[in-house]
Amino acid sequence: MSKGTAIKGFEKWNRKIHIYLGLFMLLFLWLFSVSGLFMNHPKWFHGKMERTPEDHPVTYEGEMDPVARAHDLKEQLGLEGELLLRAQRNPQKFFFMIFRPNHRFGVSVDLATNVATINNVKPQTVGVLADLHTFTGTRAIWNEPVQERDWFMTRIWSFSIDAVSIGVIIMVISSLYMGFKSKESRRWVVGSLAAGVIVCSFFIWGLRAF
Amino acid sequence: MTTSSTKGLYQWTRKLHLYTGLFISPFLLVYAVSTIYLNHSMRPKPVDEAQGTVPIQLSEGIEGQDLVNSVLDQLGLSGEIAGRGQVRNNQTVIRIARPGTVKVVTVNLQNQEASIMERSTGLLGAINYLHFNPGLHRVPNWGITKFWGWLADTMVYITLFLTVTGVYLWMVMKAERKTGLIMLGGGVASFVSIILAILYI
Repeated sequence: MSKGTAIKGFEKWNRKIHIYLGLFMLLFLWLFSVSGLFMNHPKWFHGKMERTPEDHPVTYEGEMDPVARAHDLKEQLGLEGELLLRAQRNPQKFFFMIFRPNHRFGVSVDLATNVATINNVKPQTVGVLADLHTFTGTRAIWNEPVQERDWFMTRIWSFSIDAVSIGVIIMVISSLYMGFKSKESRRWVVGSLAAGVIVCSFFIWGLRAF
Repeated sequence: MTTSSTKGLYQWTRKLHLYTGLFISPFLLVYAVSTIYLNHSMRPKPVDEAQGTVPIQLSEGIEGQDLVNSVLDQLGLSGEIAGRGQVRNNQTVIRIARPGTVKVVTVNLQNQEASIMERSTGLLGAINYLHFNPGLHRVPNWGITKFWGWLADTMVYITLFLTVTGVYLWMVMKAERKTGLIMLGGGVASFVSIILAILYI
């Protein structure tokens, strides 16, 4: 294959990949863009969360490590979501949370009575958007001693987040190539990219100097 | 619409798609790269460097925002401020954050001095800072962060514009219609099924 043919083939596929990735990721991009916009404006998050407490008897027997205990209780209570287990503060109770973007179940088991109180918290729609934006299963803010994704949907969502990020990086690289190969005004191509690079660099590196 | 006006619309859309896309490409890289780091809970390793202790003059009984403002004025520091000037054991701590760096100022009111420590979080810290600010629990108090917030909003609007113009540009190209439809359909199906499963399974 000649060099010219290879370049032409690369340019053709570069363009195709840009189009196909953009189309495949369309709804993902809309979700992360719009949820990011809402998160930039916390005042737009009005409306209270809905809270419903419920009591359920549970079996709490034998020695288990806290993570296995929480999984066992989660199964007994028929709850689905990412387990969030922090250090226990009250020796009379065992507390954990089951987290998913449209529900947060705070489970507190009274060790004297073996009754679990589930506090079901439902966020508003914009809250669900924000939770989808940040639903990685291993957020530092949660301060979990054991940080791992233990719900299969968290793993799928986390994989989607990585895939969209890598997709965006590929789209950016392909657009840079197309920009420099395009027949449009070179001045505008270089100018628009340079403007973005200068502004972005100012925020990343420039502010440390002043 | 006539053929020439359709052609004009296509050409203008193509130009705008290209130029605005190139302009926001560094911003998209900042968000995409920091997203991967945040998704895997990777934190920057901060490097602390003591910058010494300097004398300051503080009037008796000063606290709260007045104390914070007085300290920052005397030290000539600015940035995103955390610390409300609450005095405990004759001390207050003020954190002044900028992308990639945090200055921690410990003020001793009794000795009338301020110890400054600089915590550098590097490139990763800088892009994480920009990803997080402003945010759900972070109402900015520094003009530069407010400006970044305005830019971040603009990036969202441009991204939405790029997606809409991208779809238009694809629809005009007959050659890519079939494969494009498969990709669009695949994306919509994946998105809807994942969202439904994550919310209702």
